[in-house]
Amino acid sequence: MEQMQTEQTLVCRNLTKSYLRGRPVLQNLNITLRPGRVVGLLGPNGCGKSTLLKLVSGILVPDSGEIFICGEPQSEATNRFVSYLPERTYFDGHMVVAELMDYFGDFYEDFDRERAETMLQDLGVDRAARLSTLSKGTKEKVQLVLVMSRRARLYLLDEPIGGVDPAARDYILRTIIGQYDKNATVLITTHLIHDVEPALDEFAFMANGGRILLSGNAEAVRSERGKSLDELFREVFSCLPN
Amino acid sequence: MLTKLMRYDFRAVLKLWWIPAVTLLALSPLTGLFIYLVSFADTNAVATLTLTIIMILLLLLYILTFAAHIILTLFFCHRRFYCHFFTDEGYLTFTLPVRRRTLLLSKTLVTFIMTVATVLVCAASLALLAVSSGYGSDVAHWIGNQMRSFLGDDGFAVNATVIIILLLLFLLWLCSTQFLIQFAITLGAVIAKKHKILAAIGLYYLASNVLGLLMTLFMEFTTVFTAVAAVRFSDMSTARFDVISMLLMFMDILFLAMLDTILYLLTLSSIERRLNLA
Repeated sequence: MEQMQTEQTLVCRNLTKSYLRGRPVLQNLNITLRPGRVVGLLGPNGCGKSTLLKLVSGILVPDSGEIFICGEPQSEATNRFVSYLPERTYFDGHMVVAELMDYFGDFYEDFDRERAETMLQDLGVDRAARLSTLSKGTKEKVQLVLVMSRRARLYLLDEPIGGVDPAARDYILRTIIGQYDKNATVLITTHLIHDVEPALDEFAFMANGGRILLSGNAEAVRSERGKSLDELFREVFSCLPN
Repeated sequence: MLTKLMRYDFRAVLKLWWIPAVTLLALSPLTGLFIYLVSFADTNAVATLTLTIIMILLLLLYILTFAAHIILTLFFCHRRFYCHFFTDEGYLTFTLPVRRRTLLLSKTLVTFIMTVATVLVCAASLALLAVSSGYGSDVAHWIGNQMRSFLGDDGFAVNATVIIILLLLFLLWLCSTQFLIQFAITLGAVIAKKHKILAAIGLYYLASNVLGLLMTLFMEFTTVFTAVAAVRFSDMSTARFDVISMLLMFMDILFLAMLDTILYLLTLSSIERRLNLA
């Protein structure tokens, strides 16, 4: 059992989380992620996708349950394995892009500055620009570049392409997500399933309460059911009256 | 990691801190010069009125800058504490491979050092003001008299101990002010969903009133105790009385140190266990 935990990038056992005076967002959630996979965590709004990512990254504290990252119980120490991109802009607006690279370089041993510089150049982001002067989309690009420039074991990407233009979206999916370290695991939550689908190896459909309704290999769904993940998602979570 | 964190915290605070500090230090000799000119000018001349108006305006500006420097230092340091822990910036802070106690320690040390630096700048500006206005020796004489009347003439050893105790009390008081603000911000952020700053301000006033009352009671108790001891044991030697007074001051130090420790640990515990960034 212990060895199995070490081999997996992420193991969540009986994870429960509720916010103040609310019903549980996640209830006894169990999920295991293997190395070298790009996994799409898909579900309707409020089903607990972001909460799960926050719990894994240590932003939130679970009510009960266990989280193991690369065999170690989740703690500040496991943050060295995890590269987390929240769904909001979270950098100090007074900082310059180059300063942010210094910051990442100082605190994350696995930060690849050269890689970050190349990506910023490709995306047309000025290294000398102050973050507060950039548009929301450009800020998101900077965040994504910095997060993906780490040689992490687990990437947690919460809506990574939600705010960027379609051209940058293609670049991000092809260059950034497509060229991640093959021993790493990428967990993506998004509503833009159609865009992300080609990059996904596996998927998990999450329903309210954090229940995993359906999970499996993305390619198998397409070949066996003759449907794209986007179509399957619409079918499973259909809001239309029958 | 602590050194790296402190380096970034210092850099962020110093980016703006130096502006009121330099302004205050530059205003001191200027204001002092005008005080000097007015003091020795011909009281009937029209030019004296102009000088007096300028002096009053400069003095007003000096006082405002003096107050602003203290307030802005507290604002810069605690704003960073609040933003890094309780706003979206917390998403970066808490995903660093750094223990939360190290994060808090960095902010605490930087705030404390910056507060002490502000106190030193204020003291230096007052000294500059006194010297440049021509009242330097008078002020030094007055301070000397005050010290002598407070400390007595019982020998250097006792006086030095009392000075150290007073200095320690002052530093602990600075710490308790800082820890109380940090505690109020943390508790405000934990209990309030939207109006975190308002909750923090409310909690600060509530806590500072309660603690102020406790402190006053404690200080009153020690004063009354000293007075009773003086009456009851009127035959007590001065040396023994000094020792009792110092022991009471040590009790004050102990009380403040306990208060500081409790506030710090409560803040740390909230950040480690109760923090939930929405």
